[in-house]
Amino acid sequence: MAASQQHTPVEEEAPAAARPGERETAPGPAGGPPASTKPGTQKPGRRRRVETTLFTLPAFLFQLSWGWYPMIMAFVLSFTDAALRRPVQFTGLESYQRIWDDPLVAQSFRVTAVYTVLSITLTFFIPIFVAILLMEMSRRHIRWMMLLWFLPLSGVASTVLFRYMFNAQYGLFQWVATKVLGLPPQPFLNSADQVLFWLVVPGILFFGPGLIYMATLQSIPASYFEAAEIEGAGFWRKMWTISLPRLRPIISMLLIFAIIGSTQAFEFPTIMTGAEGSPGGAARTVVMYLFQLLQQLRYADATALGVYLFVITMTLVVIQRRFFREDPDT
Amino acid sequence: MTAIAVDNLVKEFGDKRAVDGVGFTTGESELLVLVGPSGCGKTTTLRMLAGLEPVSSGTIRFGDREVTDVRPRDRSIAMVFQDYAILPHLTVFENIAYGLRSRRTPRAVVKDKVPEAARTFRIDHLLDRKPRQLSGGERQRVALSRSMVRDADLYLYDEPLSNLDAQLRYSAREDILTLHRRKKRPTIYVTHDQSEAMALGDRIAVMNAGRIQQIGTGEELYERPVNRFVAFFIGTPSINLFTMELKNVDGDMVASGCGLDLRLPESIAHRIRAYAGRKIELGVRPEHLHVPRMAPFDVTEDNTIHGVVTVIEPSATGSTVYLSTPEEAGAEPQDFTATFKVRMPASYLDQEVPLGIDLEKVHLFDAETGDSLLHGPQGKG
Amino acid sequence: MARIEVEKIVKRYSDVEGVGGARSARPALDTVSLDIADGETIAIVGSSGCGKSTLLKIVAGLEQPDEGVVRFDGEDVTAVRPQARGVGMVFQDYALYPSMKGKGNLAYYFQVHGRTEEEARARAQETADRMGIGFEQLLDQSTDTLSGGQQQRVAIARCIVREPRLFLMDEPICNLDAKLRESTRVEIRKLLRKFGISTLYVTHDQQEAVFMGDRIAVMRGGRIEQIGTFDELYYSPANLFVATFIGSPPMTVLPAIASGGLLTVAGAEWPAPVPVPDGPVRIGIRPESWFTGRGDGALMTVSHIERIPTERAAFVHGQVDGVPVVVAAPLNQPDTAELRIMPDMGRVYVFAADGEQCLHTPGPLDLF
Repeated sequence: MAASQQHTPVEEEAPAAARPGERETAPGPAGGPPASTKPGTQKPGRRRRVETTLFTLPAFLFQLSWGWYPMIMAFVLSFTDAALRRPVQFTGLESYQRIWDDPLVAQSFRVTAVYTVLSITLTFFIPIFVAILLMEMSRRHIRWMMLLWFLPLSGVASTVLFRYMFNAQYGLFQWVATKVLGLPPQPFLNSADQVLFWLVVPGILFFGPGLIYMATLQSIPASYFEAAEIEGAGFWRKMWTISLPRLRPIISMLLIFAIIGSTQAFEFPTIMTGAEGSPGGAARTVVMYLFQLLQQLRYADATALGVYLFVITMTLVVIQRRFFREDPDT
Repeated sequence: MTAIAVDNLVKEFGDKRAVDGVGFTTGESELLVLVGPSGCGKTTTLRMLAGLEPVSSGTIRFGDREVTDVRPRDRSIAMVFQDYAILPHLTVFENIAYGLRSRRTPRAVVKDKVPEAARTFRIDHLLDRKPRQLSGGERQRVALSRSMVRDADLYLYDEPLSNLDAQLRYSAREDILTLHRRKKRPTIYVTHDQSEAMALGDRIAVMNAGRIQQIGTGEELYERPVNRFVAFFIGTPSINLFTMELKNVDGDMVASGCGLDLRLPESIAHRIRAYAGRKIELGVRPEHLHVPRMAPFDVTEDNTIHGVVTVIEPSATGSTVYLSTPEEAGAEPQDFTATFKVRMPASYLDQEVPLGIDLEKVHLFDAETGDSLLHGPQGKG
Repeated sequence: MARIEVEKIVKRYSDVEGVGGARSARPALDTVSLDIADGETIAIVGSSGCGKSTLLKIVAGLEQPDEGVVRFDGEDVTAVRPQARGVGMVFQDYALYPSMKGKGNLAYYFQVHGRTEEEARARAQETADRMGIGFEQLLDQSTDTLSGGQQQRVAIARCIVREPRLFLMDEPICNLDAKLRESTRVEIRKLLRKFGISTLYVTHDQQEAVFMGDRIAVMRGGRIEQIGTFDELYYSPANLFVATFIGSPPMTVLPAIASGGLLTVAGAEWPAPVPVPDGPVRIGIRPESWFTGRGDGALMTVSHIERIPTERAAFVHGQVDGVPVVVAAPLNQPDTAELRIMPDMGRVYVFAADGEQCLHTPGPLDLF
């Protein structure tokens, strides 16, 4: 029976013109049919449609006022001088030109690109394999490892904690590097070459989507793995033929979040390296620079930079969708 | 020759014993069915045979090889799961070929074997489809094909028919027997449905509470159950059980209770004289209750039971009638069932009717232990 | 308690993605009509996807039909909300409130509807008494400690408490194991008879349908193929589909050539039970209507004999001219590779050579 009735009910083709007054004539709990309706002509689906509209309306209004309106306004502003004290003047592509020529913008895009690549390889793909490996352990071990690896800590709190751990003089990492490994003192966040790498490292431990992978893996019917085991499949074959295909939709979805999240990285680098993204802007991401522009009251430039970033992020997302085509079988 | 030998198998989950000393052997091409109610340990036993569940104690041998602690993939088994365990993202072909590819079988062999197995189960036209596009019956046949391409030492089935529509089960049974006759290898089949067990098994092991209650052919289990559980579990509708007291009345053995006084025939009486004065349970199969006029024996006071007809179920060959002993009979009304080779008209509903009990064919059980007073456990093993 | 009329119900679903466009073009229910007399139980049987659960949902009010009317006691309830229809539903998965004891489950309806606690308790008690022996002790247990059969009894009692006009049961016992199913279905049947509530009972198991239903409706592809008592469906099926669907093991259907009052099947010639126009036809024979070992029989190659001691019968499986055949035989039927079989010509069904048209049915059994 299970698979048989999974159709999606369609609404009546009745005109959706839902006049609110009509709701009153809907049949009451007494059970009698409404007096005015003749058998065969009534359309109870209409009531459902009105209800549907009413239920979605608040969310729709919210989305409109907090989502679409600011976005469109920002887009409009980017073509003006965004002056505060006098009427706004249309300036065309001027701010786009200015942003295009700004060397700091180019640097911030380079920083963001490196940060995105590093964070997706290290904090996105590694947890997939860690999660699959964890599933091979006994159930008790899985629980402990989940706690250790995927601890859901508060973002800002743990970020501040990491700042102390990275401290060049008395941080834990420095202690490990010099006292345990016997290396010369490391610059960590103070090195322009290393800063982005060290920014990403905490993500492996704490901000990975590992818990979601584990939950998805645990929802795969055990019989798939058992049948594969009986059929002679080893660890790698089980991973390629069962775990990864079953994780595919969730990987695809989380990858979009990861792309959007890392192209718009702001809080973590700011807290770790300061608003300037020291040393010398080596950790200044696009959004950090955008924030600087805002602080300098260069609203038009800031919005233009925002539009550039939007276009690039959108392109990445579209490319991602191409690679991860929807597969109805998974 | 002994193909599979299981000895004193135990499985503990925490302090609960799911399987409590199960032992049996199978022949080289025998189909053994493990049957029992849910929670009786039959599936756990099967999973231990497959290696999917570590054993707490006991041994499993395939031929002269002990496999108790061998990994599933090294045991050489094929198994059909209750949910078929077909991978949804692979085509039917790849699903059937899964085991061959895992064992690095040459491509040419795979190309040969897979369509052949699929043809046997009438799914060769579906090889390029994804499981999503298949019906329940077709999916089940994919699972059978996957076993078919393998040359395993042991074939296992875990309730493979329970997700199928009733009407499909007949042809599915045929398919399973086809596979078994092709392979001629030991096969263990788990089900909760005794009629499925009857239809498929060369021998049947009835399990309850983690133990095997009796092993034998369907006929042995039906005719000579060693205890009340086996008698009740095998046969549909179930055997009628009446709690009674055994009395010695002037040398005759009389079972009385439930408003009845039944004079047992000498063929039974001489074996149970020692039980006089004890509580017993009298078991009467529904087909051994007869309409007096049509009974193959004389129906008298001493072998008659009265009942009010509550439900009549028609069937092709007669009717199954559900009755209740009349209220005024002194005891709590008791339900019982009778099957007739003739059709009982609906006008008998709510009527009280007398039925003759074929006392030569009754079973007697110790009311406390449930053991049969007539058939010893020699039928076991 | 009520008389239920379902009239010309049509239900279409939107294009379901996958499986091609063919399915979506076909309505889930195609002009289905059904009458349930007061106190009658109708069992709806059909394989997965035949529309039986959709029909149940429409009667319950959980789905809206595109066309057609549902009437309770002559009153049009098509637009009435499910809560107001006074139906009691029993589901496959029992749907009990897991945090409550059996008692709480029974009283819940009254609490929600603002009745006093005494009234709720009194009604729950009254129902428990009517449910019969041994029911009361179920009420003091938490529902998750009850067995499947016990949970289903509580679920039924929860419906009875509300005094529904109509019972709707959607495969209520298919999650139970075989032995428990046997006793639970007797239990349910007895309760239905006792309370005399009109019932629509959905199942995919034809034996269960025969057991539960005063009448049985056989559904396929959104249509009711036939509705009637077991005897009507079994001995006078409306078409080939119903003939092969009802009865287990299923009927054997063999191709035959009719000429001059004789039917030629696999080389054997048998007298036709009724005048049949010359040409190809098909004949249907139920397992119990074969004679074995007669010289004028057709040759059957036996593949195996399935002995069912509990039914005092054996089923001989094999083929006649490549067509699978099942023959019921005595339990002691000897093992053979071949068997001559001949149908009891008075019990033969005749079908057209193509399609599903039924040319002749034997009608009710006449023993003498």
